[in-house]
Amino acid sequence: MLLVVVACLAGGAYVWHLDRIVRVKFEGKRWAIPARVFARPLELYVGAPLTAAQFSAELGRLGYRREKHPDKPGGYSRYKGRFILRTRPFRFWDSDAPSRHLELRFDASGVTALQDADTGKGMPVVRMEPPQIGSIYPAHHEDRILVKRQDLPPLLVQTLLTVEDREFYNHHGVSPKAILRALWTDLRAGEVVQGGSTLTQQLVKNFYLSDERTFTRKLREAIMALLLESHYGKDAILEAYANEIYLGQDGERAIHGFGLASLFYFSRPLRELDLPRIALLVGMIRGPSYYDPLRHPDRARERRNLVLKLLVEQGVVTAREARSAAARPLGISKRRGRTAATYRAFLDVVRRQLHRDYDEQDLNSEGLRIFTTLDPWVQAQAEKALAERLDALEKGRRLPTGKLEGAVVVASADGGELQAVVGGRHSRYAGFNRALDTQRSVGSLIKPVVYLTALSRPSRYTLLTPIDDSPIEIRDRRGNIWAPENFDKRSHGMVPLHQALAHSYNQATVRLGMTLGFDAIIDALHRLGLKQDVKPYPSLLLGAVPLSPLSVAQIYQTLATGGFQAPLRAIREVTDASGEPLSHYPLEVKAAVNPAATYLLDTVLQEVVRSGTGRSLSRWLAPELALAGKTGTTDDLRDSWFAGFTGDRVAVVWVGRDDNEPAGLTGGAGALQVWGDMMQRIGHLAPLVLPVPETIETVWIDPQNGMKADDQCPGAVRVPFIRGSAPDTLSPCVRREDGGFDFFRSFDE
Amino acid sequence: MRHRILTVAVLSLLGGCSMMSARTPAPVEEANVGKPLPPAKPAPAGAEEDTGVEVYAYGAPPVSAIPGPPPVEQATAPRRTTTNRAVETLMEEAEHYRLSADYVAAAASLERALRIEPRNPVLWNRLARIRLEQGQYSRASSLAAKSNALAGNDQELKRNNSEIIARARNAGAGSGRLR
Repeated sequence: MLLVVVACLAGGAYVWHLDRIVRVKFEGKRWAIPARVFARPLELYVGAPLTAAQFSAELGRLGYRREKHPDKPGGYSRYKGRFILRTRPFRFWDSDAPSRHLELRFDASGVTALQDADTGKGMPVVRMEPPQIGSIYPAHHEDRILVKRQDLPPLLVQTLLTVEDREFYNHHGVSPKAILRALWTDLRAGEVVQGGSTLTQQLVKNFYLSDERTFTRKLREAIMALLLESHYGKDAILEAYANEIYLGQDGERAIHGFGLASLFYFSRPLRELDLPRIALLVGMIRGPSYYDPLRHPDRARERRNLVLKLLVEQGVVTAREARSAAARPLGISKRRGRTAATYRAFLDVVRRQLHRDYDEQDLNSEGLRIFTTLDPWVQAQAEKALAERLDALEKGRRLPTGKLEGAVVVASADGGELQAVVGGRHSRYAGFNRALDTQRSVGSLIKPVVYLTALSRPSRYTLLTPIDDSPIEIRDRRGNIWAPENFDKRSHGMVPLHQALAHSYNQATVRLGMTLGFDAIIDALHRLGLKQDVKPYPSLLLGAVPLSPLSVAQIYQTLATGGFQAPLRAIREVTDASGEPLSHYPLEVKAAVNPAATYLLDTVLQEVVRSGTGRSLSRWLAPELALAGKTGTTDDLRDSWFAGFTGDRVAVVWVGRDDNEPAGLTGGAGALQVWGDMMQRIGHLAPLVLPVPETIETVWIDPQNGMKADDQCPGAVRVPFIRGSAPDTLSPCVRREDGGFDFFRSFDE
Repeated sequence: MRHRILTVAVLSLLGGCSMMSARTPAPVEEANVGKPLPPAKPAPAGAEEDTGVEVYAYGAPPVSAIPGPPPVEQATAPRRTTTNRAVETLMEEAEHYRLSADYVAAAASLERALRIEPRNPVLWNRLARIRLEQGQYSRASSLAAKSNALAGNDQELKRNNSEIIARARNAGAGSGRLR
């Protein structure tokens, strides 16, 4: 008797112990919710530089359904360049965007009409919801998007109950009938083969318990299921189940809950799922990998159709509805699983930026929403250009196959928003992120910094100042002699400053740099945005300084905007799970370097593309765009660089080998080709029009002697100078005329 | 409630009796709790400094005993039409927010407009004005300088930018003295 009392007391204590576990976890924060990372939202307006193909791709990323007559959010119809769509509502960090019924028209130039499809009234600007590009999840790699009970589609709930637990609303957590049936099966088999579990038991098993199949665990599961039901309502349990359930694997990421599974498999939110998709999703619960619709489509289809049959038997749907659903394809999105891998390199930047302001734990557990600057279109073109050009270069130049690697960074020029980051040739695979983590000598990409330093001293240097491009020897402290050569192994004598840069002459640059002094050049580098220390060695003048493509992009961003630096950033806003703003990373600019000197330099960088080392860009892009850029090549052709800018974008490409062996490519032969191909693919490029600073004047110059000329002089060219630095001496060509004093000409000056 | 007590009581008995035949229960494994988090900084040391990416967390305007300068009157703010209706609408929206002192929303609209027309000097000027009214003087000054660099021959706009820069300097110096 005493023994029984002690045993029952111990049992009671055990149940209380379980009761505590049940309540603490269910009432606490049930799951660590990963942060969701979004690309930029697409802005629609008349004149937007967007093609129908681009818009169609965006709708694909957002999982919009193409229908005859879109009548629900997330649907669209298209006839050539005309789209009718119903946008989904979205909570932006600064305002709520309602669902809209829109009509859009496109031609080759972009959006030509944007109006309310009901009223026909023109709409000035509409912000689409942003596509999700990734999540930041914790070490156990469970990813999920929480769904509330009231947001579970009724058909999904009916299907779930029909398949998994018909008595759900009637039992107290366990179903004795089901248990007896399972027990009978198990006894006959001599081991646990059948669950007979209610939804509540399944939830307990997934949520609280391990996967082992013993009778004790089974019993514990039953007790906890009863306890759970005694504390909480059916709807709370159903909601927890819908969010806990495991539904597949995406590499190392585990897909949990119907909310995420719907986006993962079908690229659309749960509320937009139709009967066949719901049947498939519920059918997969039994074995997400066994019924994986991508790897085992036949099994998945069979399972889905079995679910449809059950639904008919239970009177949830009609036989006709089920027949038509069973005839449908599985409806799996082609984009399945792409987000996790595609934007890896960009997400690296996002993650690093976030780590300065947020704890890892907040990032992977609080369900933060992170709005980034990524432009998926630009990203896709950058990836394609890099992959295809490197293939073509290896084939065309008989280089060893598969050895070349590369990296690309693209940012908006004035805002410094990163639009694309490509970390390697095979951007879909995990690996070394060369855009951030590779540090390679930049070669001649450094030269603009040397020339900017010179042009910032207008009393001494103008674009026409003769620079001596003859052999030069520099002796270091240990007595070693450094004698740089030009790429063509020739010296060019006295050349005007702009030509020395446009043709990337080494000897002229080293001589100029030695005169300017290392301190001034390193100071300019830092003001242009470089964060790391640079050693004052002569070889710095020819770019023996290892930098990442991202660091180079910052330097060229400053050059691209007349000296106004906008710190490169990947994030615009962070909100909490409910959409309340937590932080905003505002547009920042600062005047970093002399704008007039930068203007002069930029005209030379245009000359580089027009007639210098970057002229092969004309193979890809129209000369009228007046783009600016600089090639970079290092010793033995180990690194091939090109950095340049259009009127609204700055981009840097590096090509080389991971083992630092010679790649066999100059900047012009390698990286420039990737850059040109990429920009051509991106399309709708803004021509580069340099705003002329007030302190700049343009003067006619006689190219024969570099003296002041006028528009009457044969061959005279207009050259910009910082005010007061233009030559005073008149070229003989001005005086050669009738000798009289010419009023008009002097007015002209 | 009665149901709950009953359940617990029944379960206690059940639990007690099952204890006799069951092995000691294994500790409950609370899935996914207490596992180590991934390393916070997967990058090699020093790489983060080299990314060239800078972050400025958004904060409330600095608290200062001296109130910021009064809002620049509409009349003195240059108006220049843009040919783009989207930009025009976003500018109007920003002005609406500004007048109701919702500077965060005003700046957000202007930033959207600037993504569409990044070289429109009026937009940079308006953003500078918002920052000035928020008391973010150094930002205001830089943005006005950027507007100036793009303003070409628009003397009125340049005068307005100079005014913003001067106000920002004075106000910035004022709050600097206080500290």
